Amino acid sequence: MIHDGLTAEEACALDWCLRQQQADWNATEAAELQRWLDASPLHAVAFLRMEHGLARVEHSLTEVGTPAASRPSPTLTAVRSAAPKAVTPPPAARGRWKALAWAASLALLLGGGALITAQLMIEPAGQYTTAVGSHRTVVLEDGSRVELNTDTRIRTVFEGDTRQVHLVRGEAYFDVRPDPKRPFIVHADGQRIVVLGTRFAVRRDAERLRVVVTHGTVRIDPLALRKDNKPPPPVIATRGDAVVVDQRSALVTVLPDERLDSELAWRTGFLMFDNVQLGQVAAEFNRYNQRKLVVDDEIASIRISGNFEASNLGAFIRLLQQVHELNLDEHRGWVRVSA
Amino acid sequence: MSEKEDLDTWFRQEVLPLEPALMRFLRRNWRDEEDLPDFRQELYANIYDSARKGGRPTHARAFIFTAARNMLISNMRRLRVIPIDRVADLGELNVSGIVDLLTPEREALGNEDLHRIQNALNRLPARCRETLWMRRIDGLSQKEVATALGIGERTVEEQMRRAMRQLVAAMLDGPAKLADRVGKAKAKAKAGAGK
Repeated sequence: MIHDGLTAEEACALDWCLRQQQADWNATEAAELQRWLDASPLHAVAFLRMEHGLARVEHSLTEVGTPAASRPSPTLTAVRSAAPKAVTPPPAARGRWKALAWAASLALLLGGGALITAQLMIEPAGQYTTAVGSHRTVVLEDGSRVELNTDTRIRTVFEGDTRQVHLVRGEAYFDVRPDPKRPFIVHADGQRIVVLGTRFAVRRDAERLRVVVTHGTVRIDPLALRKDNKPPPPVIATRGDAVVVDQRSALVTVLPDERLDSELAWRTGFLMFDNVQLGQVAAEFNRYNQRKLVVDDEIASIRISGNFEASNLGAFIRLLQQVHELNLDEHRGWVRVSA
Repeated sequence: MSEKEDLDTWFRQEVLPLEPALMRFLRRNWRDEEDLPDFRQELYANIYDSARKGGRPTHARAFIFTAARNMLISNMRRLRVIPIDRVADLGELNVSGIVDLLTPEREALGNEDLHRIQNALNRLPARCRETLWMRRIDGLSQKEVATALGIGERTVEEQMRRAMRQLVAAMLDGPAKLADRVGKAKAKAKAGAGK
């Protein structure tokens, strides 16, 4: 009875809608459709509902696929009343795709070079670095802003038709100036994040990549091929989405606003925790401080909530000591906390 | 404008935008989710047919929700065991009250569509999504996609049909829970911005 969430009549009506879009739609078919519609009000309403839904899908798909969200989208009503024609994106879309593919191969070539320059003390042009515990905002040549979190390095390559940034390590928040003609692409860890004029954060950890979107839409293209030698499908993320990507999979979660705030609290120099295990909290503090916090397994699952200054490990430790009556074992360069 | 076009336009503009609210109403008052697509369709057909015969109602919303309520009641009568709590609920149903509740969300569709499509895209079977992406976003022809994926053109067509079914279904009546969460997050963002 139900076909992918549609009733039998609706599945049939949708087939009609899709056939109408074909280039070879003709008068005979149109008459056939009319007979079908007249046969029952069930058909008529199914058709109207499908037409309405398909128009919204088509419209959203064009927004997903183009940086210029304003590009006029082909709607079904237009197709229906005008001469029959197929709905295909303009050829420009394909050209851009090729440009991106080319950009990706360039990115891979340059990847090796980054390892060498990283050894130099002087910051080369187009490269920006922060030390552990520091935080810095840079304005790129196109006016886009990038905030670098602790222990982060980015490298920018602005050439020709693309704006490319490589997140070599760490975490950064991007506020991208929209420019449909020059896509903004972030490369990190074998993933390509194609930006459509938007604001988002990217964090690169040892095994995975985390993307949090606060405005607009981004597309994440995994570059690694699957076993069958084909690229995995891209993932689309919009406002309020957090995407965790590793070599094999991408997981999209919708974050409530308060989580969005805590994900990005580092931008104001704070760490926000809501019921997070002490082990994880310690790992988070350790990103920002030279002095590392070591937590005994026994107490690693204590839950912590609150806002803390990322650079003030001392204040956090004192709080732990007072509230949970834990023992501190202080060394040069690290502090051990135990029950 | 012909009589039929006029009727279709009315249906598109006055009835279809109320679907999210209508589905919430049906879900609240009917336990069996599986019945709902058919209920909705039956209801739409009744509304469409009576608007054709008896003219358009002045207050579309009140008309639609009254029809929905009547349909639920008649379906409950068909059941052997009548769920009493549900009937009581319906009996007290104040249609004008519902109408007030509905007004703000009618226009709130636009942005949510992008979320819905994205979620629906991510849920499509891999092959389906790949086909759809190549056809609609990369703009390849059916033949080019068939060659690229090493499958027949018929299969491409079938994958596209499946993809579109699922996308349209998700767009019109997507997972209610997710849509609600997004809606709430947005309302919160608005309230926050107003401070």
